[in-house]
Amino acid sequence: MIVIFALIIATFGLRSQKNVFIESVDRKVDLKGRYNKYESIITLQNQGIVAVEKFYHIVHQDNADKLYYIGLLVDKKTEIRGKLIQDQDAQIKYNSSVYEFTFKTPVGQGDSEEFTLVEWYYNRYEPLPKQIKVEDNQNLLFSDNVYFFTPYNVKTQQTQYITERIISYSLKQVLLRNNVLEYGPYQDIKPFSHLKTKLHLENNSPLVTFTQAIKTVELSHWGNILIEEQYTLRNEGARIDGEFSRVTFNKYASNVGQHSIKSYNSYLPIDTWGIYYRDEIGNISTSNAARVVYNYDQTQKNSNGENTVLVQLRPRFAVFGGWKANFVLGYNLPTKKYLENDGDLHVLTQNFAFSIKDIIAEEYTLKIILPEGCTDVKWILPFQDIHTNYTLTHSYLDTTGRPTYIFTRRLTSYLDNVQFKIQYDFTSFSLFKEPFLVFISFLTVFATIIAVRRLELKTLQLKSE
Amino acid sequence: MSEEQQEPESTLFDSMRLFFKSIHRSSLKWSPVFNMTILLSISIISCLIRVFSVIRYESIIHEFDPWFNYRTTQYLVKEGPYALWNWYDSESWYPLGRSVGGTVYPGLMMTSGLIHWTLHKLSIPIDIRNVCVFLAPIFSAFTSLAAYGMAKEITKRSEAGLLSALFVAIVPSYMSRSVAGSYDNEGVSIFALVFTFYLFLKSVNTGSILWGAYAALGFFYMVASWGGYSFIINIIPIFVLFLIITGRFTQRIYVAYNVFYILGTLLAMQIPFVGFQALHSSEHMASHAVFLLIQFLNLFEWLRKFISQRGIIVLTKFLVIALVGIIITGIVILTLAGKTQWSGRSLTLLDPTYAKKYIPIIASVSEHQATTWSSFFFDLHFLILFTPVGLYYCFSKPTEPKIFAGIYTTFAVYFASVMVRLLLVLAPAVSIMAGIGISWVFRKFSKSIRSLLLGKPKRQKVPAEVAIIGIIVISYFCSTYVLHANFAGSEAYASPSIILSNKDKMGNRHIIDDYREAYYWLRMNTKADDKIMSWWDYGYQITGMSNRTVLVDNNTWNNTHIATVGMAMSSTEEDAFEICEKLDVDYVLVIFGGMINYSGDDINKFLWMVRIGGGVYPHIKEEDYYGRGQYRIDAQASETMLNSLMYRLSFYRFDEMQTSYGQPKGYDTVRQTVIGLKGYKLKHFEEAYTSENWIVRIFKRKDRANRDQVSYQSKYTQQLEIDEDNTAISRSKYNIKPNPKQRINLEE
Repeated sequence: MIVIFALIIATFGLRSQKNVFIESVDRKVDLKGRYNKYESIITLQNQGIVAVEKFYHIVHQDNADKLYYIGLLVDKKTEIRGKLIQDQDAQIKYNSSVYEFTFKTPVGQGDSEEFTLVEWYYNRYEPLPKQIKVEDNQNLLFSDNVYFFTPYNVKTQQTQYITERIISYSLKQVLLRNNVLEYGPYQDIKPFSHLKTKLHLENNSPLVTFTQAIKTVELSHWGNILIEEQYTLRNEGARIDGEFSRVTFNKYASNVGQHSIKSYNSYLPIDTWGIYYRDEIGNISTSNAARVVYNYDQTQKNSNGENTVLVQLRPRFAVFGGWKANFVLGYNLPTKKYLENDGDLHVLTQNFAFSIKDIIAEEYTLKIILPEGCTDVKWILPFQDIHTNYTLTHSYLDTTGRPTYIFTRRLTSYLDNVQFKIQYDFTSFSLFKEPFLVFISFLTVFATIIAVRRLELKTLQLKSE
Repeated sequence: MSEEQQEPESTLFDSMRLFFKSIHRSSLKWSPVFNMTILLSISIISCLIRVFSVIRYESIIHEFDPWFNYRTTQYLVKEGPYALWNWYDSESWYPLGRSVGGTVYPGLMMTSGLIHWTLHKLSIPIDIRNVCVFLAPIFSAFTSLAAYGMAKEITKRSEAGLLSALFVAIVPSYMSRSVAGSYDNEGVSIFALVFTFYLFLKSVNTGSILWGAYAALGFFYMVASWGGYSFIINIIPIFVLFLIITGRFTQRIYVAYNVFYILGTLLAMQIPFVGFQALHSSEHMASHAVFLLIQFLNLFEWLRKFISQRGIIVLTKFLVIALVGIIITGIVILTLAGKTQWSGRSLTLLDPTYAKKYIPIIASVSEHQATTWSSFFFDLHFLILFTPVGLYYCFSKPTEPKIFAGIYTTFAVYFASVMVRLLLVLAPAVSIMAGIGISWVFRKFSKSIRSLLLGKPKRQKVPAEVAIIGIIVISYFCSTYVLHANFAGSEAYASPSIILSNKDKMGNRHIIDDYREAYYWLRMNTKADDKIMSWWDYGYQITGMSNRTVLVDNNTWNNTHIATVGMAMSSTEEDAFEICEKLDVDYVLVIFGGMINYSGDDINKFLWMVRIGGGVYPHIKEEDYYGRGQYRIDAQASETMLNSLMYRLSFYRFDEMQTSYGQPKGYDTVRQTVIGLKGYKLKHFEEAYTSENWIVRIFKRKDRANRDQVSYQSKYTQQLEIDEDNTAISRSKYNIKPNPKQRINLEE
């Protein structure tokens, strides 16, 4: 009886868990970079009669499509991805969407659990003023709910906004120290509470996103994987007021025009070779590459540094607010590390995301071109919101075309860089089909020539005589 | 004693002779193999020597015209040949547009389109850019094969052919237009030229209709690919005329010429850009005249059978003179009556001072200048020395092909000295002539050496010692030529000219990529229908790389339109603004090299803009732009110069920059002076973008400032005004006060 009751409560989810509440929330919002990182250390208290398996988080509709990552970190190690669920009530009543997290070990009866909720948003700034001079600083407007927006009761909570330099703010009950705004602590805040603040702050990081990123992986069983990444870059920051001034924005004054993007880095696997960087009119002759040990320590996922090829890329021109640029980065990998086989069964392992880590893509497409003649292709999607498509690609000496699988996803960043495995059947006979074709065609040509030369056409001879 | 000693020596000598003889015999046996191998190596070398630019820079289209050809090829590949025929390009010559299909020599594009199509059918998905980039090197290999054929046809000797093929393959003049990326008409048409000559000589030698038809097909390809085809259609009639005059006219020539002329002219008319010009333009008149002449000659040959010996001589002399007279007067009358016309470029060839006087736009192009001795030497090197040897050989024992080669060379020398560009036509002639000459000298020398080694009793004209020294000297010359060609291919002609590079003190190469930086900025950050005004040199590059509409480009078909742009550049800012507004100009692009000492910039070209503008709009006078009798930009520059749009845009805010050490701010490194006008502001234009090294500066035309207030007037005053004006035009009841800042229109 109790079990059934508990199940009913569980299915009712967020509305029913009255005895589950949040003891404390300590929220830190990083407003220094081009994207906003929310880190909330949450202590969840379970005073109910059953173990809590799931945690729910809600995101207001204003920000829902600007959220590109949400995850829970338990014990600073285990990452639990948020899963978007449909909840009519939350959508209509509170105008928000609901994310569900399933704990690996449920929070037992009367227990409490501390974990960190990490949210990444993009595009939440609004430049103010909208137009600035090249040498000016970029000022941005940021508005947020100072309460932790949640379906749970919160006992005590506080929020810190960490900025480069704060100019003004609308909600004045606040502690300001070293450009860090500290709201709270607030006691006993009800679920779905909302208190808006607007911050005007200085932030010179260029507000760039890739409006589109396409990564094409072309596999050759002769031992090479060709990867080509196409990007379209856009700066949403403050536009240039009046004229572009090369006098102030010159190559010797590196701190002028910091709100324009002058370079970006790409991190490629250590065994990369044959890197190219170009656009529609040829090479972009400003790039450097080096083998380094690099630790991209923002996720706390991989705290150890890894061997990588760091490619420093510069766009043809510094991309200021409102400007666009596009480019292509290509490189090759040997198949050794990335292709495993068991007889005719092959498994290709590739990074799901693209190689530029500090910019996110609004539209992301991963194309995998498998060798001609492979069958029985299978994969496991790493994320739910992926749209899959199939086509054929014709490349060198192809007859039927190479099977090409296209995976499309909105909002992708390096945080989604999971290993993507695709499995297929490929017989080694197919590998030799193309050289065999070349061999046969050359043989035919030469044989015909020899035959024609040796043939004595009597009629022709008569004529020439 | 002495006899005993001679005995072993002579056996040694004999055995050596035997050894040499066997070498000689086996090399004679293998000579066809050598021949093929050498020819193949020459083809490979001619390709390889042209890809330095790809190795040093990248696989990219070079310079100016190739960008148009590339863009057209892209269109052809995308839309198909019929669409190209009907293509009306609205991106160039705004607002006129250009009917590309009818004004283009499509041979080049069709060739690469065909290659691209074939390779794709064989499922080799090569990029069209790479086809275009590597087309010229591949065709240069074909050219060397054609030169081999032609020299062999002239001398009947393959060693002359091989030397000619080698010389053509690496002659710097031809290389300058056919390096990888130099995707220009000349790249394929030099092959077409040599190949047509080869086929024509073949038909002259054999008297075969088939070879004549092949020659006509070769000519068709030449017409399809380059305007220089008029060289062929004039040289061949001149050759036939020469044979008639010297009494060497035979039935073989008659067949060869007739087939070539009739088919060739008909085929030439199939190219839309040529069309009926093949009948009535002056470039073709010689061929028509010679055609008529040989028909009459044949008629006489036939008549001769019926008339006495004496009568024939009189009749022939009379009729030939009469016919020549009629033809010449006919052409003169047609020319004077304007029925037939010479194009400006052809006239420049006949009268080198013509362009300077009448068509500044032709004179302004550096490749249309008269050739200097240094460029002769740089482009042809020691081939010049050996050409006379070949000519001597050709005229000492003349046959028809040798006469042809001589005539070709002589005329090409004349044309090449008039225009730098036509060195290209001379290059194969000189290479073939030098090849023939050297092979002849070699043959003489090696004969005497051979007789020494093989012990033939025949006495030779040249002593063996002289022969050995001579061979060494000539070989030395040949090797210096090869080294020079290698230098030209790897250094002088390897630059794509849109990418610059310099070396710092440590010897590191730095790429200066300002052109593409700015062009790509235009492509990404302007509206798709924005119009860019620049001097015509950059038109093709802007349409090709920025994909934006330009007002004028390198096609230069409309002098007035170019003059209007020239006028805008040389007017004051206010006047230029009016012109730009009328022409819908959104951006003005200028090239400025004063920052990093790049001398090919717009300030240095500015006088040509003034001259071309002044040619159509006489209120622009060249003298006004001189300060103290000199073209200058410093404080002594003239008022007109300092106020011209070009000056204002090029040097805008330049006075705030420190360009070189120990010089004041605003020091122009190209002109080596400090600029004359400082601290001015632009009223109607604003700096939209300037590339990193200031080479490309793009200015946006600002919108007109808001008009002043609109005051309402009563019907009474409105009535009064109509009466005052005494015009039928009804004015609105709002009287718009003219803005005092706005300047009057140009017509006023």
